[in-house]
Amino acid sequence: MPKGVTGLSAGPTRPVLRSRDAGGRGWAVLAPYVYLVPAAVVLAAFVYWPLIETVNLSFYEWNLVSPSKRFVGFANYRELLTSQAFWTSVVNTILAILAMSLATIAAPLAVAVAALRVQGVVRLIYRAVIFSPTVVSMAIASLIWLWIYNPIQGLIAHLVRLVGGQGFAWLTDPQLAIWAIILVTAWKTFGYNFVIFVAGLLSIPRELMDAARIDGAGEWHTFRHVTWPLLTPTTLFVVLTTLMLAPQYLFIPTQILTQGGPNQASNNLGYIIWEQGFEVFRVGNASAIAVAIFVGFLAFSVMHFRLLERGVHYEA
Amino acid sequence: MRIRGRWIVAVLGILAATLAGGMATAQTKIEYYHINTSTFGGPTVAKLVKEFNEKQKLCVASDKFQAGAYGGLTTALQVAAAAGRPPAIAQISYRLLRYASETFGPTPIDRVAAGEFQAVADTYHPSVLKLGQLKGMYWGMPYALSSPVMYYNPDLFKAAGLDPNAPPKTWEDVVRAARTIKDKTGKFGLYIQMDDTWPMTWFLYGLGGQWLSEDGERAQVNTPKAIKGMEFWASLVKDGLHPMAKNDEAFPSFQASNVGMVFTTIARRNLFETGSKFPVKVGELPGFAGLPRKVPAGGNVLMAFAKDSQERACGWALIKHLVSPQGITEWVKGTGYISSLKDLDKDPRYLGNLFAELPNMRPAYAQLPYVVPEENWPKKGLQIEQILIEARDAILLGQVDAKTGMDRAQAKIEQAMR
Repeated sequence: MPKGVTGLSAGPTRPVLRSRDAGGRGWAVLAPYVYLVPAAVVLAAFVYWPLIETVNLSFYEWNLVSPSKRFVGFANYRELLTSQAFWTSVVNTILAILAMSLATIAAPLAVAVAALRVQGVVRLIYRAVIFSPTVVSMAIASLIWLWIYNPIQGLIAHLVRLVGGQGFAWLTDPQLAIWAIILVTAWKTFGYNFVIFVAGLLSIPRELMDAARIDGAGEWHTFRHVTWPLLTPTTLFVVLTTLMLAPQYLFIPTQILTQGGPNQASNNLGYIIWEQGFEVFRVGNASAIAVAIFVGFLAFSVMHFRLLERGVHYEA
Repeated sequence: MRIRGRWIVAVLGILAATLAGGMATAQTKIEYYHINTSTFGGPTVAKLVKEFNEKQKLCVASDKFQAGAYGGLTTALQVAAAAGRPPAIAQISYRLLRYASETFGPTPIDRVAAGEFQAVADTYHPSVLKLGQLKGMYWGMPYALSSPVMYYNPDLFKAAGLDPNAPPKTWEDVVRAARTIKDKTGKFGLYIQMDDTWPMTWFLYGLGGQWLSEDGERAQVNTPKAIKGMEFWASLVKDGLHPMAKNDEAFPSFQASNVGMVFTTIARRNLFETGSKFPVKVGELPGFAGLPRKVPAGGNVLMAFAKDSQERACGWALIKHLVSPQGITEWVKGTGYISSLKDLDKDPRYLGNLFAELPNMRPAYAQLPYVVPEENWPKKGLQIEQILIEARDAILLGQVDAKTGMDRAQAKIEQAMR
């Protein structure tokens, strides 16, 4: 082959290859961002933009339809500091989170461990009975409990009267109302966490527990040193989802059973935003509450995740 | 070329025919917001709207139920208005008339109706027509008209040794009857509806008071009469005659013979008559002994919110259908509301046989001369309702005495109205 031909053929090929290399590298750098665009647009439109707009609205007094908003600076935040309804909601939400931690994390774990010891058809029946409230909608669950709670002729009042007592005004007693809502929420969510724990327990290799027992470990030590460490990723998932979702779960039973009453006694952070924003149309006040909750939960989540991550054991 | 030309002519012809057909069948769609549940007039609303759609071809109306009574409907309306899509017409509570007219920018109904307003207005009881009027303007056509009444259980009355044909006439009589029922049967004597502030107004008006100053601009919820009204209600709870319960708990309990008397709107007549284990009887709302009777009207007006002229015209056509003698006849029979049209109960074509068919309607009509409109809050009506409900709860629960509760409510309302 003549030199010139080789030179000619080799000459222009190199720059083309370089150009393709550069383009390929450029695309390789850009591609992840391009693929992220659809999700980013949706997130920006439905999460970040409302978030920014909520912060903005928290500095105004506005009823959602008036053409003019009145700028009030930090007045909505100052009002929160002295608002009895807001602080009652904060306390009730913390109570709900603590109670839900026991009722829908510790209790389902204990029941899951116990249920796995039962064999045969009984085990299936247990699981079905415990899981069934999960498939009922929260609205229907609330209506069922409305009947159970009825202080005049509800199921609980009937049973209490059988033993000579008086029915409790669950929904209109300021001491009981929030617990009535927590109970409905826990009843509804218990089964879901139970099934997650059962799945987590079943995924633990049987031979590890057998080995522990051969080494002389009793039931408690086997659970403490084998089952529990291997169950911690499942527990982390259950804890985080429960604690993050608990305030949201309270909304429907609150709306159906008490509307935050009596005299704000059962109000909570999920409900009070809706009440302020869409019942009395104090959009600025509702936004200030939402911003306060966002900041509070952000700090709580970071702290919580860091603390919990330390105790989590993932299988190698 | 000739063939191509024919094709073009044919295509244009088809296009023109399609467009013409489309124009001929173009219908204006409108929405009608209402509060009527499936057990509280919902099927009647659906039937009336269906009849409207069948009798004309220019408009297609759809009825949109809004949960949460008038508060819930106002919420939905506020959200729809914020989104720029208000319904053509909606039921607005009499006591939220001012709030709605100042907040949502409705078109006054006499302007919507143009030349037809007077003819429709002439069919109304003059006192009822005024319920849709505010500061000299007609904002809506009064539609649902209710008054609070006393439902009672004649079997429990008999069991307690009371005369079921002589229901209590005054609140003092009511307390005596309730105490007798409690003592003789062990059941609760009475229950007063608790989903809104209406009963607070019954007591206040019955004692000769009012919520607002004479000029209608300042709140006065802590007057001696307002406090006395709340003291009276709280005493019923404190004495164990009245359960501290929600409507959803107390109404089924009344139907199951566990409560002797229930005080609520006549519009629940159908619900109680069809769902109770005994033949429900109705009495008039009592007054206080020695004081003139005043019965605050409940119910709603139909207001027009559409921005588009065609939708407004369709909205008015639907209103005309709903408040026609035939429409009101169906409405009254299907719900339990009182007729807002005059002389309908004397016309055999409409409600002439009403009392023979529905004798429990008689007390609601008998107290019509005492019916008065409720005052409208000048500003922040929804917020003020919420403040009063919180005050009511605190007082009935015994957390505060009536004076403290109403003083606090007054302070909060003044703050809200600033």
